[in-house]
Formats: sequence, structure tokens, C-alpha cells
Amino acid sequence: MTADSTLLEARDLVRHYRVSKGFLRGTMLVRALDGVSFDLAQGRTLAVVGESGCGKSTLARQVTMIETPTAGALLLDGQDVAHADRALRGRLRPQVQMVFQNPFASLNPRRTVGALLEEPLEIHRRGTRGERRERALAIMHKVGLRREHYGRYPHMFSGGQRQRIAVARALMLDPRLVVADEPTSALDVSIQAQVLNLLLDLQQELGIAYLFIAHNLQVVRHIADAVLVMYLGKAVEQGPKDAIFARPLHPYTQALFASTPSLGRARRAAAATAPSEPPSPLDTISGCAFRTRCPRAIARCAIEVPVPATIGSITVACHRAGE
Amino acid sequence: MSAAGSAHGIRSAVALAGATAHPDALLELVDYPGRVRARRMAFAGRDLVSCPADERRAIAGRDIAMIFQDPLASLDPCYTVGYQLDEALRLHGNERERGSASARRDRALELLRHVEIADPLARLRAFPHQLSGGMAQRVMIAMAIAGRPQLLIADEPTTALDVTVQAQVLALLMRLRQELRMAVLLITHDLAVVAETADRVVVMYAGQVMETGPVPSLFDAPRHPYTRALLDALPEHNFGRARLRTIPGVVPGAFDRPSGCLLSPRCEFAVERCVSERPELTGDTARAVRCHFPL
Repeated sequence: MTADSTLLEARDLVRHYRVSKGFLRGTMLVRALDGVSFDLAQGRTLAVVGESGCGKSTLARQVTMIETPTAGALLLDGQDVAHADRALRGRLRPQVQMVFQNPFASLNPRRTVGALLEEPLEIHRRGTRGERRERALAIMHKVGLRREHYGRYPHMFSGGQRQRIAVARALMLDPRLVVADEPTSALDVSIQAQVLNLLLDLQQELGIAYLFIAHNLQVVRHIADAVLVMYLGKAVEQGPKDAIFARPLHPYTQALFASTPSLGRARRAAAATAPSEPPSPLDTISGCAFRTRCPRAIARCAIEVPVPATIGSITVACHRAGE
Repeated sequence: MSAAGSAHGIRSAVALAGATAHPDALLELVDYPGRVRARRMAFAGRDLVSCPADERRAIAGRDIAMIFQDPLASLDPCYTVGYQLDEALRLHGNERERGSASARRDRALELLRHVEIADPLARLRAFPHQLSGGMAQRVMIAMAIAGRPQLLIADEPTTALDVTVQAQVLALLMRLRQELRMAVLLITHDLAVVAETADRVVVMYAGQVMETGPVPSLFDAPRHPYTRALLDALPEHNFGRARLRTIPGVVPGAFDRPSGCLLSPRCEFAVERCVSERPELTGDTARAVRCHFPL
């Protein structure tokens, strides 16, 4: 693993969508990603956590170059992905690959494992047919699939095995960054452990960085080096995993922690969790977006948008974090 | 599913945990060519296997209600929340509700309030696509409790929800269990959810009960290697460890079940006897384990 050279850097990343309010009612702007900044070093794991609608998947779509950010900079190895021309994007895209949440939906049921794995190489015109086959078999071995699986179809595999296939496909192009969108949340406990171990082993061996999108904080605690907590398109808190798990500063992070079920806790303390549900990204909230659910909100929170401030090793956007 | 039977009293929450647990057998939701066969499957003293179909139909949906994993897939997208609640009351409500539309409407509002939905009057006119996942699950719960059930089966009720909303829905279920004096059968693969909500747990594997017991003690001292391996695989139990402990291999398919103990190919303690002879569930109703060599 190479130490701490930055692989991915996001600066004030913004992505807005125009959505229709209904027939003849015009459109409105959804700020799905509203000024998010972070760094991710080579061979490290950054976990992105937050509720649905917080912009996690939008972030993944920008990083994987499926979409172009509205504003801000996204640097992969110092090269700006956001404003790259076609040729540069073509060179950068293979370096970022993705593993999706549901391996029952992300694998084409009509193609064999071999065909699924070789497709990325075909798209990027790499190697001869024989070389592609060799490469597929080598990667299959790496993720714990056997040679005889090459000609089989996805429906012949269990969820855990399918996720291995999905991971193998993400590795075919030798990526430096893998974006994993809830890769274990569709799996059973014992299978989840197998897939997490696989991801950690591959990181050790190949020095891949992970952008790991998750809502299971126990999993995050196990796999991540750093954590980015998002709420309605903004980064509310980020920092090294140990610091955040030892003492979360943002009330939202605290609420997420309190909501996470734990074996150690006998009965749920309902009062500590965040009340109500996350507001729709379509709503506009003045000041701090979390204030409508925040137990510690004061008058200032409704007026002034909190600016991210550094407290120790943590960056947090809350008026009351320093108290 | 083979042989998962146990009696549990009113107002307790029992959790079924583990791979491939099937609650559908209880509610006659098994599709052809599947069939429910049991020595006895009694609900409130009545055997659901041997009793006539129409008697069973009267129980299913009213006395035994069920909510599912994906609430938005369980609601009909073409009808409003109000219509679907009304339908549940027309079928499963009390005599007054079955006879009067205005009584049903009042009860529907009361049910929505009961499951803590804000602005219930407006929600009656809403279509499922206008609801969030957490709200939709609350509507499902409202429909389920419309018939004043004695047993609520909740099949992975919070798996599709965010942790914050999961916490709220679980708290709601636990509150309703107390208030309505109904038993809850919670099916989940999340052991932490079990630890926080259930009184008793039944650990299942490949269609068999592996272990059953009261919640704190079963988690503190599991007697079946499968239960222990499940607990050991949790990230929560692997702090400071680079790799998680796992259970090697996968759950056997329906047609390649081992002849001995179902877990034997994956069990670290398996010996000759485990491969040749299938263990029986031994113990009493409070605590039982299916293993030749319990821990």
C-alpha cells in the first residue's frame, strides 16, 4: 500500500438537477450535491454514510464519471474529471469501477460469468480473446471463484457468490478506485463477512482505494479509514474513523449512531434517535438543513448556514459543535 | 421448512433469525406445488393444518396479520391509502365497521394516528407513490392491525429502511405490541435488531430450527455452533481484528441438503457422527438446541 498520496480529491462538488413540478407547473432545482469536499488517499477507504436522499448515490455518479458535476472540481490523480475532454475521460474511466448493491439486478442474467467479466476488456479493446479469457480466470481465482464457474450463468449462484462476480468484474480493468454502493446490505450476516473480508484482502494486495457507501455503521467501523457523513447534499461531518466513532460532534451523526441497533444494548432508547423522517431533497430549508430534526437547534440555526469548521481531526458543519 | 414449532404467549416478541426462514407457511401463502405439512400448527388452540379451509381463511389476515419487507411493493399503486385501509376494514373490521362506511373512515383515521402518521386526513387521499418508505411501512402496519390481530408477523419489516427510520418503526411495533396485546413474530437476519426487540429467538438454518431460547441468554451463551458463528461474523464482535470471522461455504440448496446435520459441511466442530446422523432438537420449550455436541 502506498502511503497517503491523494488519489481522489473533491472540492466544492455541486450537482443540481432540474425536475418538473408537474404538467405546466414549470421546473425546480434539486440540490442533490451542494458543495462537498473530501480527499481519498491511495489504497484507503472512505465511507460515505447518510439516509436516502442525502446525495450518496449522486456522489457516486460523479466520481464514476457517469455524470458531469454542475460545479466544483473532482480530481483523480490531479487531473480534473469534471472538465475533462472526451479523450481524457476515456483514459480516466477505467480507473474507477463500481460495485452495486444488489447482485441480483447488476448482473445480466443472459450472459455467462466469463462473458460478463470479459465485457469491460472488450469495450476498452484490450488484449486478444485468449488473453481476455486468461485475465478473467485469473481474477476469478483472486475473488474465490473456481475455474468451472466460467461458463455458468448468474442465476446458478447465491447472493454472496454473485457479489464476488460483481467485484471480479470491477477489477477486470485494474482500477485504482472502486466505488462500492452498499455492497453487503443485500446479503446475510455470514455472507456479508465473507464479502467484506474479500474487499479488505483485495485492497491489501492490489492497493485499491474504496469509496464505500453504506448505512450500516458497524460495517463502516470495520472497513473504513475515514468517514464522511452527508445530509441533504452537504457534508455535515468528516474525519478519521477512530475520531468520529470515539466522539461524533454533529447531532446528526450522533442520531445515526443512536439509531444503529447493537447487540450490546438491551432495549432501545427511543429518545436519542432522530425524530421524523429526512425531508425531501425538494424542500428548501433555511439555515442548517438538519435543524428541523435537531434536538439542539437554536434560533441561529434557522438563519445562518453553518460553515464547516475543524475541531481536532474532525471537520464539522454545526453552530453548536464547539460547545 | 421442516419442523419449526413452538408455543409462545400473548404479548411476547419472537424473532426468527438466520438464513432461509419461511413464515409463509403460517398464512397459507405457499404457492402450488408447495404444500404445508405439519404434525400440528396450532394458533390459539386451533390446528391450522387440519381445520377446514374457510375456518383458516377467517383467521388469516384478521387474527394473524402480516407485514412485508418492501412496503411500497406491498401496497397497490392504483388505489389511495384510504381505499386500501377501507378494504382491510371491510374484510377484517368488527361488525359495525363492516356495515358502515363512515365507521370505517373514522377507524381508518384512528389507525393512521395510532401508527403516528402526521396529517392523517390528507394521507387518506394519498397514493402509495407519494409516501416515503417509512410512511408506507406505517400504512402497512395500520392495515395489519385493522383486524385487531393476536399475532403480527413482520417479515424483515425494516430491512429496506434507513437506520433512523428503522429505529422509529421498531419502536412503533414494540409500542403497539404492548398496547394491543398482540404477539409479534419478527423475521430478520439482523441479530442486533433481535437483541433490541425480541423476548425469544428461534435460529433457523436451511429450513430447520437450530436453536431457540430467551434473548439475552441465547446471545450471551449460544449453544449451537451456527448461532455462535453468526454472532462471531458481526463486525461488532471483531473490533481490532483485520478480518472478520466467517462461516465458510454457502447455505445448501433445496436439492443438495446433507444427509447428516445440515450445518456439517460448514461447521468447524463437525465429526463423523455429524455427517452420518441428523441431530434432533433437544431441550424444552424455553431452551432447545439441535446439535450432537452443543457448546
